[in-house]
Amino acid sequence: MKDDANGAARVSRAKQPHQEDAASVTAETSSNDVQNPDAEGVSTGMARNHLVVAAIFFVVAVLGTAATAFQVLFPNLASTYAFTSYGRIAPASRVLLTYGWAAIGLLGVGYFAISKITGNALQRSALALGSLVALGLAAAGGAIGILVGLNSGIAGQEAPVWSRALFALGALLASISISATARTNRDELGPAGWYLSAAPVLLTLSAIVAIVPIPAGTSGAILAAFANAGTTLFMITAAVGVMYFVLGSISGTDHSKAGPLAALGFWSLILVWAFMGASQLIYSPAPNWFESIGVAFAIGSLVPALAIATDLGLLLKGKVAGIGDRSSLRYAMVAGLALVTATIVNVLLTWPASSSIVQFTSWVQALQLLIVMGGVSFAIFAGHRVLNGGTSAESSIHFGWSTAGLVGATAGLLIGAAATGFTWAGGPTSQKYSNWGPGWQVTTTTIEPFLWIAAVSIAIFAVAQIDFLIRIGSRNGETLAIPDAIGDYDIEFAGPQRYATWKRLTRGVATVWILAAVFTAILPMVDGADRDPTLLADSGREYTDGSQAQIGRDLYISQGCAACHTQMVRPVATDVGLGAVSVAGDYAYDTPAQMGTLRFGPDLMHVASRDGFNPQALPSHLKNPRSARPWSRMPSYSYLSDADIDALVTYIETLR
Amino acid sequence: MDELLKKVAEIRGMPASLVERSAQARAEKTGTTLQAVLEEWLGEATGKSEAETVEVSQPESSEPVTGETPPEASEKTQKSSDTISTDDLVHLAADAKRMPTKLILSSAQARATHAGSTLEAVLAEWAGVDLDDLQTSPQAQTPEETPVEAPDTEPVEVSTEKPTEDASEQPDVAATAGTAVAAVAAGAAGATAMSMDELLEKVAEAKGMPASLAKRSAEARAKKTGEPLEVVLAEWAGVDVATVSSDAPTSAGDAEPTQAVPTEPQPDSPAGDPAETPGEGVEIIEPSGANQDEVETIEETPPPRGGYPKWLAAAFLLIPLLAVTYLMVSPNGPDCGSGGQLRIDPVTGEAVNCDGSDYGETTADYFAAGGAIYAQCAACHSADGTGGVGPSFASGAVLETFPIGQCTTQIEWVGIGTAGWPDPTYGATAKPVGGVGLMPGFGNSLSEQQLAEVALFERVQFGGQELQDAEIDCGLVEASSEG
Repeated sequence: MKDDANGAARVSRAKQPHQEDAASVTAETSSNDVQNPDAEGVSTGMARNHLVVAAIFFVVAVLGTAATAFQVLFPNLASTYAFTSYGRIAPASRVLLTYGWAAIGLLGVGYFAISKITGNALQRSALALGSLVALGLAAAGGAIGILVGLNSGIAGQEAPVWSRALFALGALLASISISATARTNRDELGPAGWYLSAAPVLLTLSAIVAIVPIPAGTSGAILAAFANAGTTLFMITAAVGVMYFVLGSISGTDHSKAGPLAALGFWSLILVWAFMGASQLIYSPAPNWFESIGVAFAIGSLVPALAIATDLGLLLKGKVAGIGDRSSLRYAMVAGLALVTATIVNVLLTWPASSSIVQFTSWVQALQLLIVMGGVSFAIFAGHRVLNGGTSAESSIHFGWSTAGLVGATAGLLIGAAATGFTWAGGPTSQKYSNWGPGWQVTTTTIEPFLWIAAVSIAIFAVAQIDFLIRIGSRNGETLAIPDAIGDYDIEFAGPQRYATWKRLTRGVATVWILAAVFTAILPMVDGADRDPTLLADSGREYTDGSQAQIGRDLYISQGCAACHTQMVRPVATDVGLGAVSVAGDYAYDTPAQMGTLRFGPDLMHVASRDGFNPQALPSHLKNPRSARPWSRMPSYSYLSDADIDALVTYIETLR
Repeated sequence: MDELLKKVAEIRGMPASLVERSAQARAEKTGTTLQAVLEEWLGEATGKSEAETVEVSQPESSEPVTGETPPEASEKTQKSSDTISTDDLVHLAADAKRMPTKLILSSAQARATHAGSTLEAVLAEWAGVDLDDLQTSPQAQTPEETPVEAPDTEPVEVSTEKPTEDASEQPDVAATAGTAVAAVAAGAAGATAMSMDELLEKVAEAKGMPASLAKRSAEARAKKTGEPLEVVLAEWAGVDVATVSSDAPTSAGDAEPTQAVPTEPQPDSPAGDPAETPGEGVEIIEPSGANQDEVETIEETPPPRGGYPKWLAAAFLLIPLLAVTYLMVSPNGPDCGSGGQLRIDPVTGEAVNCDGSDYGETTADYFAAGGAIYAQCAACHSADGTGGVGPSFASGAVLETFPIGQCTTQIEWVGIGTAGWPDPTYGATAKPVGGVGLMPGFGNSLSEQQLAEVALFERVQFGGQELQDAEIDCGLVEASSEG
């Protein structure tokens, strides 16, 4: 039990680590300035480099995303070339968004922020620069790799393994630099410091898991889900950290101020999102207790959302009027709203009743969009404002267009998803149409208007980012004049508690992460009660090397078919009629398992045994999907050779 | 060494860590070893020399001290304050203020000359020496105006006024002095808040009004009369002021170590989950009102983060509770459950209704459907089945003609009618065909299922057969299904 004022003394000491005499005390007590004259230069320069690189990736990524959004509406759009096919652009854009934009951008703002928070220069800045190179290569290489057909086939980790390894290296270097800087502060780091120093550590851990070879079947899907949850955890953690930093800076609040609510928000956020991998496999053949963990932790994610939103609100309470730079405030608020919405969207995606409707629909995309284009992007925008300044006028254009795009795209995808889900549920219930074959037309028609809304909105968002890139590239602006943190931290209430020093923080975070690894990766992978190959798996799904079916399966992966097709029948009303419900043993030879996450096209688990399946008609369907079904949204695969098409058809025929 | 420390700590009634620090300071000063100092102290203590200088600097966990300090301890302490050398005091003060010793010495000298008190008194105060101690120790001239009847407000005034003046005169130490003011004020506020709560409760009880209201009134009163809030409250509560605040000196002592205690970070201290640590700071914001100056200082600073609406606390409990409940109930998986979840047929692997029937098949509607079709029959058999042109079904009559198990015969009869019936009689009672009148065959206008449904309706509605039995009887539900 530390005494209250005791905490204050610690905090004030932390602010003056090199305190020599009383004079320095007087000079620095009420100032939040960095000690080292170089500090600002190094960290600011590093942050600016990162932001410029990130912005380039960002613009390419959102343009790619916008292109895919229109490709769904105009399936023939640029589908004559392999590398412009929907199945390749979509995962490539996602890699650019996660590796290039989210990771580099958030780390960039993080370098600046952590240096400001600790009051010390960025440590090991050479490693930070090395990290930028590694991450940049990972992002560019991963995206190009996917475009030339090197898709790994792992959901959420489509980038080739060497790209993921580079990414892990970059994350490791970044976390060394940020940790070293955070470590210079031996006392309370404050919420912004907690989040920003925990984030790269979490990123490194999950990036390392992502290069572990994927085991066969369900276990592989579980491991991938765990690594993906780690990446999401990084993005959310870092974005919240940036929000704390920005709001703290512009409102003149001392960054080391922390209350119980902030601590609750931080630890609960780490806890629930580390376990969120389980929520990606609801209704899957994974162990049921594992899925239940996903549901429980998705519900639990409301706690950090509530705590952090309230804490940030209290941080701003009574200070909004005094905030000079409204743009950063607005950006940060949209980021916060997007993350809160994402939490709710995730709960609905996970809760069994609603999940049976919205799982596999564009609801999944909306969640991704809210986190990456909402929370992450707007947090970086806010950080950019603090870092690079700029006039309010130019940022309100960017803010307006970006927000409009985000809101429109989210709304379009969410409503379209609900419409899709109810369409799927309506088919088997009314027995009027099936959710495959010709019956799929009902789905494509229903979702069309919402796809339009989403596509136009994403395009608006993308155009706004071009503006962002031009501005960030041409700016030699000054760091926004941040009002000095009011010197109240060395008055009584600064640190009623010392919540987390760097050491305690990393220990806690690592513990939570290991717990999550045990319960949402290792144990469910070990728990393979019914993983023995089923009759289904043994009848044609073995895919021996060099066989036609295996070549076809590789093509299925490299062309990104899994971007639109699932291979998983769930025990829910919407999947009635699709065939036998999938069990773990069905995927015994499927490495990596092609369960899929989205159903823009119909499920393919038992496609070859459904009524009306005609392998003779399949080649022409693949080459020109709209010849027989004018409503089809599938891209044309006319760029594939006849041999490839034959192999693909052989593979599809094994899906009985 | 550890044992030695423990012994000294025991005798002095202060934590070992503190003893060690004091001893170290002393050892440094006198140029001896830590062990020597400790032994010396131990010898002093056992020799009953006045060793109770202990309150000088304070333990991190001060509670044991307050608990253990016997009532006479303070007297001893008073006597023994002169056992601390000036050098020790300088060290402690320097430590507390985090200033170099040289500077603190010169500042203290200046301060002493100005205030007309002794150097020791100033240093002791800065070092956070127990204020009781200061008051009675010969050299220490504590501020004059301390009201005897409310000793618990003293520390506040004492500690704040002096450094404040100090700050105005000595700009170079202003910052640290400010820290001191604030920290002590915090401590004092905390201390008064502690005893205040009890007081408030008593007042609220005595006056029969809510504590918050009592507090507000008392504050107003205190402001008006210029009395400390405690005094007002104590009066109202009918408690002797002195007894109320008897614990104040120790509480004030609690706060002071803030400055004396080493600020060595202890990352190795058990990393309790911060999320669970209640906000100690929260109570402090309730300003005691004992001393207007302090109250204002406190109010100017923004409230500590973490003072959040109470309903949130409820949400923070409810949400995990909901999650845990879900984990326990856990309706996921292939078992029938909520959320549109179906059962998996173990043989085919298809999703089926929870009762095993094919998905989309409903069992409850046959009766209603039959009732609707019966409207066509009601013309001859009447709506209530009592008959008319045709025979009556009521009171089980229908089951006499077509007993349980013979629904198929009834379906046949309804489908064919009197005209095409192959036998001269029909039914179990061998009723003559056309005996009552002619009945049309409905086989052309109704489907096989509709015939079954209407037969079902008649048997259940007028014959009283169990619905589920009748459904199987009429072939609408397979007997094998477990429904």
